[in-house]
Amino acid sequence: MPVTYRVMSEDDRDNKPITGDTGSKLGVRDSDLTIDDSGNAVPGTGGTSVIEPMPGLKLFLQGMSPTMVPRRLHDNGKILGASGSNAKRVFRVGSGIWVTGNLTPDLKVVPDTGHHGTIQPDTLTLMSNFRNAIKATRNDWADGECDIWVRSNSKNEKLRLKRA
Amino acid sequence: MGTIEFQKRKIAFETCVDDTLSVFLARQSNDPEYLDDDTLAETHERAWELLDEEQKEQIWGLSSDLYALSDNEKRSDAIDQPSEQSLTEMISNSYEKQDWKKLLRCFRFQLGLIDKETVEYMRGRAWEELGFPRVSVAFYDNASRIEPAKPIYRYLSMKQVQKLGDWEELQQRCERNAIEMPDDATMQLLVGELYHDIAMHKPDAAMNVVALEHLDRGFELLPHQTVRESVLGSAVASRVFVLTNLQRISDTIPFLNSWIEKLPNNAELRSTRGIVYLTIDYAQAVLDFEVAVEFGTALALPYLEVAKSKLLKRQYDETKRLCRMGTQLSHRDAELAEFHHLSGLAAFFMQDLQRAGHEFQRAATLAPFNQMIRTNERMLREGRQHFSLPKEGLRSEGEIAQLMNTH
Repeated sequence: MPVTYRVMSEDDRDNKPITGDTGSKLGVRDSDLTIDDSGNAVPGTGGTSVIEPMPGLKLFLQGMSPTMVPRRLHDNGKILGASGSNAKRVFRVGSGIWVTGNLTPDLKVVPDTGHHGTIQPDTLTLMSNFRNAIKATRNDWADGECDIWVRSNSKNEKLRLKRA
Repeated sequence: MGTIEFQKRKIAFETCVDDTLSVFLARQSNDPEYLDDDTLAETHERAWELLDEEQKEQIWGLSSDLYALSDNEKRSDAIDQPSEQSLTEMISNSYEKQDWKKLLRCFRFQLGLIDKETVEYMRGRAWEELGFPRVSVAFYDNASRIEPAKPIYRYLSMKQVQKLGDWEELQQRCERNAIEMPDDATMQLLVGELYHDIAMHKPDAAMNVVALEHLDRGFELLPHQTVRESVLGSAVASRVFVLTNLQRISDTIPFLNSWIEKLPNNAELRSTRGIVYLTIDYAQAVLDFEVAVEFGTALALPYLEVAKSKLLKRQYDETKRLCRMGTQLSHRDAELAEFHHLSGLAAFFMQDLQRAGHEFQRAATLAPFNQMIRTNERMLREGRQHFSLPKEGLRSEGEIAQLMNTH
């Protein structure tokens, strides 16, 4: 199961992401991928945006707007300039490496350009089913703000999670 | 990249700059979750996606710098951190070369090397030069917060608010600063000048009276204080225009004469007297405009009137030269059209028909309803040579009022 991150609004009650079909909640917007005439979400055309783990976690977050990254990450010196609402959190899901792979039997993570990727339906499926499948992962997401990714000394320079 | 793409990216960048600043300003005014609204956030996100990497870096830099507003700025921990000496050199070089983006980056590597007040001032200046007055106001205000006794940062902020055309905000700042610095001549003169501008835009005749009070207060304080000549020039011009608005035209020439005696080389004073003379003594107006042009006035009108007189004296090279200089200063289509028209006429009389045609076309595009330009453009196309020439002469008060509006 590939590891990936997403910044989302946090539910204070259980520190899990809030579900909803917006850019800052756990869900997917109609505009995020192609929906065919029968109302199916088409794999390979986009999905819920996610980001790649990188050393320091910093660079890929800087691919996002500073107003989308919680400002406590500036306050604690992790990401200078982060100015978003503290009601958001950087969440992590998965534990493997950043390659195409299934997150659940119905969902897969697909890296695309830069440090960006999407969660897509594994096969052609009704958009409503795709939405439900994404929302069903809610409990799998954990706080990823303290993660530090370092390169191992081995030749292939795999990333490993030092601390979470 | 195509023009449309370029424009889209430019607008997206402006949106992101504005949103980034708004987040901090909203927090200062107790609206901590600004942009947390999903609709706003999505609009912002769409704009963000259009930015290139350099623009994204600029926004992150701005966001980081804006923490200085709440004294929560942190030093960049970049791996390629320069040494103190090379950083000083980099700052000095970027300032000298007016590389504002680089200058802003350099400041992020230092905390304490340069005093905060100067850093905030330079940030304000950099964003002003980059064409973002709203951001520069935030940094100038911050410099003023750090050094409240220094009026210079307040002037700079007010000038930027004026540039933004936010007349309500400008009026509030004028009121506050005039009360807080009643014995500062520059502040009183500037406030008077800005009230004149407010009177032009709101329009509120009572503002002219307030403007005059502050200008007079500033001039009273002058013998004991040093004020920059550029500030004086603008203040004198503003007082003249305020007097005109208050129907006290007869007071303007003696006032101007006394100041031209003190500052004979001041281009702005000569331009202003030229404008006043336009209604009463055209020959004297041109003489003043000639001196204003010689001293490099920043106004386009003197160039236009002098160019016109040179054309009628058949000094065509000089006409073209003045038109070239004037077009660089003018921001009004109607005025730009006049420059191109004059330049076209000069080119025609020098037998440069191709140039003349080009200039006439430019003029006609800029002022499609100007009868003289349209007629001359048509005559040139038809190979006829009986052009109408612009007339020299006095201007109506209505025209002068318009000139003062654009002063």
